[in-house]
Amino acid sequence: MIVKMKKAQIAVLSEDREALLEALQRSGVLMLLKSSDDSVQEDGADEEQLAARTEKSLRLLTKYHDKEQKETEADKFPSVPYETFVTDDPAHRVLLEAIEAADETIVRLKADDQSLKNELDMLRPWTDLELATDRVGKNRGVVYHLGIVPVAKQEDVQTIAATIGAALQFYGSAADGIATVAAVILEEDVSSMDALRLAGFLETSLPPAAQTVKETILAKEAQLRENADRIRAAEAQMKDYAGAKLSIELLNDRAVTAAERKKAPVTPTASTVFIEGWVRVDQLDELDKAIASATAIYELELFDPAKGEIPPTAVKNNKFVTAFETITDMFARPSYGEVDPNPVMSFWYWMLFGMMMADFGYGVVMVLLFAFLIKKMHAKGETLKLLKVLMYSGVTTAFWGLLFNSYFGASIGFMDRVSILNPVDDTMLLLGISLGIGVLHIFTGLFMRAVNSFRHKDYMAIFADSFAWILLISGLSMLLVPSIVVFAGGAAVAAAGKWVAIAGAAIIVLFAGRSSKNPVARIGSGLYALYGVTGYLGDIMSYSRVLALALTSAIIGQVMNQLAGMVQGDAWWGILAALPIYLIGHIFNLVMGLLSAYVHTSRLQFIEFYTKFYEGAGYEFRPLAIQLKYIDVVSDAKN
Amino acid sequence: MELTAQALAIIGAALAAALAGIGSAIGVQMGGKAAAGVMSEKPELFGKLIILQALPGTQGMYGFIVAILVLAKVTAMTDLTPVTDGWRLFFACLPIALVGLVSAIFQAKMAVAAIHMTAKQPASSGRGITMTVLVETYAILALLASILLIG
Repeated sequence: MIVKMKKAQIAVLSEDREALLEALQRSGVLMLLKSSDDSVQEDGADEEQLAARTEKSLRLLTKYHDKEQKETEADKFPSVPYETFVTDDPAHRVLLEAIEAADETIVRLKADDQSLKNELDMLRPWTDLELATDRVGKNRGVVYHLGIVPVAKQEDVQTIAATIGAALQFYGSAADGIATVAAVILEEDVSSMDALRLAGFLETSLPPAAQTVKETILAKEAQLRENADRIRAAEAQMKDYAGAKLSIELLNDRAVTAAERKKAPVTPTASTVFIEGWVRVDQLDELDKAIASATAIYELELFDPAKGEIPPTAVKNNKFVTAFETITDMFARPSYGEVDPNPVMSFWYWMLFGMMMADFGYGVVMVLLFAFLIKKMHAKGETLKLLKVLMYSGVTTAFWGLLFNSYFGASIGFMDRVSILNPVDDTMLLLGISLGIGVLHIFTGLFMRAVNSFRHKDYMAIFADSFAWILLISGLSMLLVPSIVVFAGGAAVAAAGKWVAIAGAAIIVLFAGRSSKNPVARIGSGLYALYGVTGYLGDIMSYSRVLALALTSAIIGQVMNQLAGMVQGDAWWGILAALPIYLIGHIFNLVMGLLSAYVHTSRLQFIEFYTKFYEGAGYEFRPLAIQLKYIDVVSDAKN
Repeated sequence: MELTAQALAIIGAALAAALAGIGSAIGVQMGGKAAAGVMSEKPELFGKLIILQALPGTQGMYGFIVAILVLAKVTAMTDLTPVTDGWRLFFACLPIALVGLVSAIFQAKMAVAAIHMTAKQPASSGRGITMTVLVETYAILALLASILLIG
């Protein structure tokens, strides 16, 4: 059902503002409203920036978290007392800064390492060069040139060097050739070098240094080793920090919570502040308590929603129906004034889902699997609801599996007693059942429309817009079914159906256009409304997908069993070889079946069912509350 | 003439599995490409996007089912198989073969649009799924037509 809302107006002294907001946020029962043009919202940019920094640090820390220390369940969402949660501990910020500094050091040193490695790669071929690199060049009538000679051209260069009287000295091999020093006579420098270059000598240079290349390399290697030590030290530090990651998680959740509070709209006057918001009628006591815990001097007034005001939608249902709310919310949230569709929808979703999967084995697996996942994943919010929907639907899947005699795609002979049909053999019968269930589903939708009309005191609409359609569709079904299935008294049913259908159609033609005064226009729009019967027929045909999906699931399961059966053969060890095929085949069928059943059952609710009555123009009730992502806050005994 | 009737039915079964399978392969690939692009920026959307990507995959399964049903029929009818039976089974395969091929690709186009919508508004992924599923209605009708024609 949809919870009634009241509008609360609270006035407190200006100095109690923070205390009030904190108390409200802790209680999580008031959805603040931006009530007037005078209301002020702070932007909370500092807190959001802090939150972004903590997020980044937490991501960094996961890399350093000790893999051997397995996270236990308690580590994942550590519980923290409320007092600790709200008290700002400067040590947390110090830790955050230390993490950021250590990360910066690591990043800088790694960049440094990379450039050192590049330089070393360039220098290595020249390790044996005896000259200090700043002495390369002119030297007592001889010019030394450094260069690379590609291996393929080594002989050419040597030949040319011999003819022009240049001396070559080969060193280590670099990526693109051999490191070479060419010594030419000063006077013939230009011409000799031209000749050498033509032969393939690629001149290069090394950064000038007062030491030999070997010494430079040793120095850089020492630098690399030192960097590695420093990186290791910083990483060890990060590992220590990762052990204290709770502090950062606390800081993050506190910052996000504080930002939320800062953005709360508040209207200040000279000496008081004024806060307005929506509260659920079943939480009025909590609101009162929360305010009283913050200050003794306050004024609280409650109002019913005024005309034209649309309160947010909060729904309250039992455990089973609550899970299915996620399906409705995916489509649209209920409007405040309408009847909550979830209780009825949840039953139909549950049944239709099971009918599409329809296998006893899969149903049992679903219940166990999703119960396990709910426990294991620590799921919250919408994810938890969806997992529960799938778990509950496992029950109906098993139920329909019994009716269709399907156990992991195989049928068991003696279970025939409880089964009503086999989807593969009794296709037409199952088609009939699917369409019949579709008719009932649509009737439920029309009934819900009548309930909504009743709540709006529009009694004529119950008669003309709901009852008439139920008459018409029932009549048409009575007319049609005996012509397909032959049974005793079929002719009488068909004859009665004719009149029922005519009665329904007459009501629609006469009353559907009742809003117009002109009798001709009234009948005209009545006839047009009657044309809507094609839409209803299309909607009913749409339920044939129940047959299609039940058949798909059944046939693919059978094919997998056949495949495995071929491998299995008659030998006793065949089962070992066939086991992986059974396993993979049925996992595939189960996953595809879940996907299809989930989307197609949703579709039947949204398109065929909800179009009959559901308005769905509501918005979520989202009270000012503590925002928790990493930790659980336990309130201390007092509250 | 026994062989001819059987051959015709098997050609039909092969077409149903092959064409619908091709359509689904193309469709799932299209969805996957779009989803991969979105996930490079928002990896947390994987759970929502994988559903949208998988939607055009069902046509291939429908084609496969029709192929299996036809093969079962062929093995069951070895004794009397007039040529007309062969043609009937052949044509029975065409709805899912043709509609499967085409609808999977068009459904994938819708899925790509829904994936892009989900990238911008993750909360509306349910509506995107619903709109994409609407395209599949016609593949389901074709599957039913094929199943009813096989008889």
